[in-house]
Amino acid sequence: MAGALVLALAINGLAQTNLQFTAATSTDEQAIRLTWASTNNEVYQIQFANALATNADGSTAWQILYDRYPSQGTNTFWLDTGNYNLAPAVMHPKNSALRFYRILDEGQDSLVSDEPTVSVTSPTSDTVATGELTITVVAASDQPVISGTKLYVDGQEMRPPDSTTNWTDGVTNYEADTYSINTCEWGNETHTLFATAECQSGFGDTVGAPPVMTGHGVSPFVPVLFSNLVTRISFSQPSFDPSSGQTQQVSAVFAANCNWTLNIVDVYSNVVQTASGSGTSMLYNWDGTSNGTNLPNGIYYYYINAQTNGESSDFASGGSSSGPPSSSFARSSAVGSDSSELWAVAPDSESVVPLALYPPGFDTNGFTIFAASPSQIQALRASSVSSRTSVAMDRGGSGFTPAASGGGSSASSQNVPVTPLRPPNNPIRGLVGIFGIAYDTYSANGTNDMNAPLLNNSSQPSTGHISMNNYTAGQQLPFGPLLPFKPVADSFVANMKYWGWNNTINEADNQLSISSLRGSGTPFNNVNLGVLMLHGAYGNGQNAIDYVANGCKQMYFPITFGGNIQWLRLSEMNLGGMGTNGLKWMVIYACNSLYHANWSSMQNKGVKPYNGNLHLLLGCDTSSYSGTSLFWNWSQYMNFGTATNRGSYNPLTIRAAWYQAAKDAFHGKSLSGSITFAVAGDSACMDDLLKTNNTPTGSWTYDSQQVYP
Amino acid sequence: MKKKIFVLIVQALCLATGFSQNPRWQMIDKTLIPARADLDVRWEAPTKTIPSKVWIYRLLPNNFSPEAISNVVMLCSFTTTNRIEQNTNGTAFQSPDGSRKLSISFPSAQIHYETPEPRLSPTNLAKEVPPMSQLPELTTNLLKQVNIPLSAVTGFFETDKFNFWQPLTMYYVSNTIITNIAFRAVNFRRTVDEIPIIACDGGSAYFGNYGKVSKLLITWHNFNRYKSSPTLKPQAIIQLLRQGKALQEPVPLDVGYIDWPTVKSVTIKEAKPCYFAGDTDWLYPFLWLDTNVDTGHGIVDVGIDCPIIDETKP
Repeated sequence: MAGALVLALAINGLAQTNLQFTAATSTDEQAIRLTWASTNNEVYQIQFANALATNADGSTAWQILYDRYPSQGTNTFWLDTGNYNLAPAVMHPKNSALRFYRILDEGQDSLVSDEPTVSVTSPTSDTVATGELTITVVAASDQPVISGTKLYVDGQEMRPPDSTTNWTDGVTNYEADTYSINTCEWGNETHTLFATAECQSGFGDTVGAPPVMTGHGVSPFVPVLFSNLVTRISFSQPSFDPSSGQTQQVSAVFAANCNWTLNIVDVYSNVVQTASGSGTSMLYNWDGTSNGTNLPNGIYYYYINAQTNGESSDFASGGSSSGPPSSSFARSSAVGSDSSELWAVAPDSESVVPLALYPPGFDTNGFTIFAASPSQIQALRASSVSSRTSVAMDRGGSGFTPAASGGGSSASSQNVPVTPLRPPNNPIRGLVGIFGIAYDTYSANGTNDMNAPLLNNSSQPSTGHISMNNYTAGQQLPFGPLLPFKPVADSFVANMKYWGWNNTINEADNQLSISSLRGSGTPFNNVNLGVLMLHGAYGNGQNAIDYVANGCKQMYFPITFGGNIQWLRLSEMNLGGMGTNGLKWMVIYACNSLYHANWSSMQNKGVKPYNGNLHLLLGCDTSSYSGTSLFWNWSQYMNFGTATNRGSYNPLTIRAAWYQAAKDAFHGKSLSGSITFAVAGDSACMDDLLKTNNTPTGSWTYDSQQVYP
Repeated sequence: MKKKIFVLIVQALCLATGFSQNPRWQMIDKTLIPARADLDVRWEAPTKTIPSKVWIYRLLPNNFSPEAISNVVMLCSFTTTNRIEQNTNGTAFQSPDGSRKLSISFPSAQIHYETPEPRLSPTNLAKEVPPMSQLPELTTNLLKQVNIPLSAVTGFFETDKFNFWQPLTMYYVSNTIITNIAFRAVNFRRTVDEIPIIACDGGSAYFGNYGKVSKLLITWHNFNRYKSSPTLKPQAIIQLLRQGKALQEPVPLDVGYIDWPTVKSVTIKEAKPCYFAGDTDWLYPFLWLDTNVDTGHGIVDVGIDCPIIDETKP
């Protein structure tokens, strides 16, 4: 394991002048806990760099590590465990040789006078928790939108809630979220639970509203003692891909000497691999096989069972997996005795001194502050490493540490609930696929519409313009802002990543160029699954005959760049990619993106926006509405299925998931018209699953279903 | 802040114990329209659609009559030999190959029948799917067999008694389009006191090959009246709108969103009482307003939900 450096550089933010780090410590898991002096109602951004002064002008290329983190009062803390939702992902600091931090004060909440309230209603403070812990978070706001809660354990954000209930009493909006964590994935000690909530004053459709003004709430901290026989279950990879030589190292620490068993279970509840051993800790290196027999990629859960064996805690023996003890079995060892503290290097100085030498309130802006033990500082000085260059704090080989406080467990046996539940780990073996998403929010005019003149159709003898959506020559089509697309995209990305997908395209507005959507060179042809969310229009009437596209009637999509709009013809696209990473499934989510009459017209005229590699093109036959949960549902249903319990794995076909996701997203609404979704695709691929699909044959089918009511 | 936390706890208790002092009439992701005292609201809707009083109902399980269960079992082509489960909570049937399943749940008052989607192709089209013209009769007969009175059923739009629809499949073969309709379907909602229920009781049925039911989902609770309340007058409803106590329904993607602070006027064209249950055990009334909203950039048709009774009274 590489060493890691903590270098804390405080900078002045937008409003606050006393921004400074007050602590930077390494946890027993080698995550970095940052604490800084903060101001109520401010919002912070945590930035990082792997090296300083990498830019040509000598400045540092800081990157966002975590954003929109609300103040906890006069002191705020956050735990760096990496950020695997970014593209590319930022690794856990234990896997990084060096990491530098700075905090940006993003300013005061614009809804400072009406912040939301949020609280962890269950468990209560000082609860002793064992195994799986269900946590309830309730948020309230008089603002129109509560845009969700987030749960943190010791400053690390957990996964989204398992269930959400929204309601209103006509004055105040409420949201009750239920989360689940497995306390065996932490050490036996007191952990701090808290939640945050964000509200918005914007007004929009179902997804929420544009963030005209925002407010944040942070719940009171809830200390909970985790007490388990099996503790600190951890995984070496968030998910792992045996085909590229990776193994998954599953480790745990026991509160007493134990006989332990690890069962690795597939989605059908079949145990595919078992390992066992005894000692005070375990480490099993899974190669992704069942005793050497290859297994399919997919979802695999880990279950650990342990019973105390009466041996002393010094005793340990190797683990085995239906054979000889694993060579990778490892025991824990204690860390060194000198504890970490903060050190400071003043600007233009090379002297490293304890931060405690400076009196409280001393302006440390511009100081280099880092955490290290006295022995490490001694070594640092001995090696004459200048504080102006990188300073390494070697924590390699620290391994596991005994329980810090209180914890322990008197239980003589424990069947650990399913793991992993703690981010960033996923229960995935192998890379499922690659996906991309892009969208246009049409927000260059703020809350006003963006207007698009009809597309010029110079060959059209009478009007010279293609009539669309019953608009004719001389008129402009108004397109309202679609800011709700962002949270829809975010939730889709998070869900797809959870199921083992790699995200390589995530573009919005000006990042999305019309040229990148035309022709076979589109980046979407280099992902397996693509999503494009836009406004859409369809040609109608005699003036809709598109002479540029072999005289068919077709669909059109406005693409913005700044305040300008250009029209993308569906016929200009050439979707489909060859090979393992080629595009198979594409969604164009826009009104009438697959209007059946014009799709038939395109087919009749031989105008095909796809090539022989595309399996399915999914979209809408009619107008549609933005549904908060539409794309989250779609990902969930085609990756796992519609059931909510882990034992009911039954993924839907991509087509069926599309329809069912929409039916569920629009259920319970009172809309003014029916909504029909559509799927066009190669006839051989209409029942494609994500895991098993058929080779296109060249014969296409169009299919549509009403999804509301 | 303290006041808000107190309210929060009260609401949390309501969640845990079901209905108490402050019932919810909405709990889905709609947008709260902000308070705006100067909002120009014009009432042009007939008021005869609003009754003088409405009830709050408590939903109860439905054990369905033996006759209804027997009819459904026959309708779904099962016999008692296909029964795989029967207890006080309901009964379930399954075909020998496991492909067709019927479950009748008493606590959730639900009948659910599923069959696998048939594998159709240009050379294997759906056969004798009943035409749309036959669906009213088929639906009426179906409801009779489940003991659902026609008078307690309504559709989703103004002209609906039932919402009939059909999927569309088009095969492109040698420059020829072959159209196929795999099934035809009906959706319906339940009414109580001639008021439609949103997001709870109602159903849908698919009629596939040879007119056989290929999918059936009916939710039909028993219920008790809990209490009645007088309905609000138009002027009071307008005031509630201005006080920010109404919710905006979703608008189509091509509308974008409504910027309520800059809205010029709201014209109420129609007012219809509705019941909402969602996932609660209560039917609670509210008023659905069909409005024309002048956004300053144009007129947009917007659905608005608002209280129909004085919710400040216990």
